[in-house]
Amino acid sequence: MPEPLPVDLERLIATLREPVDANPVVPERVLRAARQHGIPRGRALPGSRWLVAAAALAAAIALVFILPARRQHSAARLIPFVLTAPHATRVAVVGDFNDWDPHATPLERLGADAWGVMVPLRPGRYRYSFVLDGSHWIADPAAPQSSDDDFGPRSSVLTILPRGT
Amino acid sequence: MVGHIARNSDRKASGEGLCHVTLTDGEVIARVLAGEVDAYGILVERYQRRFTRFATRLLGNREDAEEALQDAFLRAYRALARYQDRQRFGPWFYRILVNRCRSMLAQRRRRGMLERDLSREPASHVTREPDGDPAWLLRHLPLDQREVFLLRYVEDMSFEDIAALTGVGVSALKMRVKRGLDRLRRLEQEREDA
Repeated sequence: MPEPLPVDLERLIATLREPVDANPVVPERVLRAARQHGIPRGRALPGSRWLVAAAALAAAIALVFILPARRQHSAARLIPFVLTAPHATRVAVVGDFNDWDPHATPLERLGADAWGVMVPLRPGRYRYSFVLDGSHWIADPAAPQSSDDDFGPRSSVLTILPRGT
Repeated sequence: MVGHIARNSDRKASGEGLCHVTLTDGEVIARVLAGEVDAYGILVERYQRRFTRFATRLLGNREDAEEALQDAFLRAYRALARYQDRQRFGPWFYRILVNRCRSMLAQRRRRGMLERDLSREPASHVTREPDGDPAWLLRHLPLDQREVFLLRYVEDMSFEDIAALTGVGVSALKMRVKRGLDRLRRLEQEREDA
C-alpha cells in the first residue's frame, strides 16, 4: 500500500505531473544520426563468461563452508546510541536497521543534556543519523562519517563485528 | 521495462519488416545489431515517452531535456554492441540519461546561465519564485534528491521499481526522499513567510 502524498506539497506535485509531450523530432534526429553512424560495432569483454563462472563458484563456496560458520557468531546484541542534545525536545535514531523511519526508534532523555536508546543489531555495517525534533538530521558526532554519496554528509557508520573476532 | 505489445508508434518507427510484431527490448537490439538500424526507433519512442517528463522536470526546461534525451539515445546506440544485458535496456539508458542531465547542469553552471544553482549546497533561503511556478522550488533540491522525488511522486513509481532503475538500495532511496521532502517543506515555509 503506497504511503499518502505529502499534503503540503500537493500543489507542487500536481504541477510537476502535468504531461509533457514527446517531441516527434527527437526520434527522427536520432535515427538520422544512427544511419550516418552505421551498425553499432563492438566486442564482448574477453573472459566475461569466466568471470561469471568464477563468481558463481565463489558464492557456492560461501554458502557451503563460510556462512554456516559465521551464523554462530551473528546473534543480535544491544547497541547503545547516545547523543548530547540539550535543546532538542525529541530525538530519534534512523538507519539501515529501521528503514530510516524517524518514528521507529525514539531516544529517551537521560538527564538534562543526553538522550539514549539500546537497539538490538546483528553484526554488520550500518549507516545511521539522529533526527532532532522530527526534521533536523545530524550525524553522530562520536562516530565516523559515512562517505557514501547516497546519504550525503550527515550519516555515520557503525560496524558490529561478530563475537570472537 | 519490456514492451509486450507493439504500439502504433512502435510500428511507425520500425519500418515494414517489423509491423504487428511484439518485440522486447532485447529483440529490438538484436535486430539493430543485425543491420536493421531503423528498428532503433522503437526503443527511442518507447523510452522517449517514458522519460520526457522526467528529464524536463529534472532539468527545469523542455529544450534541455530534449537535447539530453537525444544525446543519451545516440550514446546508447553507439555503445549498443558492447552492452551485454540486452533485456535491461531501460535502466542502462536511464543511467546514461541522468549522467547527461548532470553534465548539462554542470555546463549551465559554468556558463553562468543559472543565476544560482543550489543543486549541491543547502538552500539558505528561497529566492523569488518566477511567474508563480511552484516547480521552480525543485531547483533548490540536490540533484540526487530531486531525481528520486520525481520518480516517486511524479512518475508514481514504487521504491522497489526505483531501486531496479537506479541501482540504489531501497533504504537509501527512502532516506533521499525523506530529506528531499523535509527540504521542500522548509523552502515552502520560507516562501510563505517571505
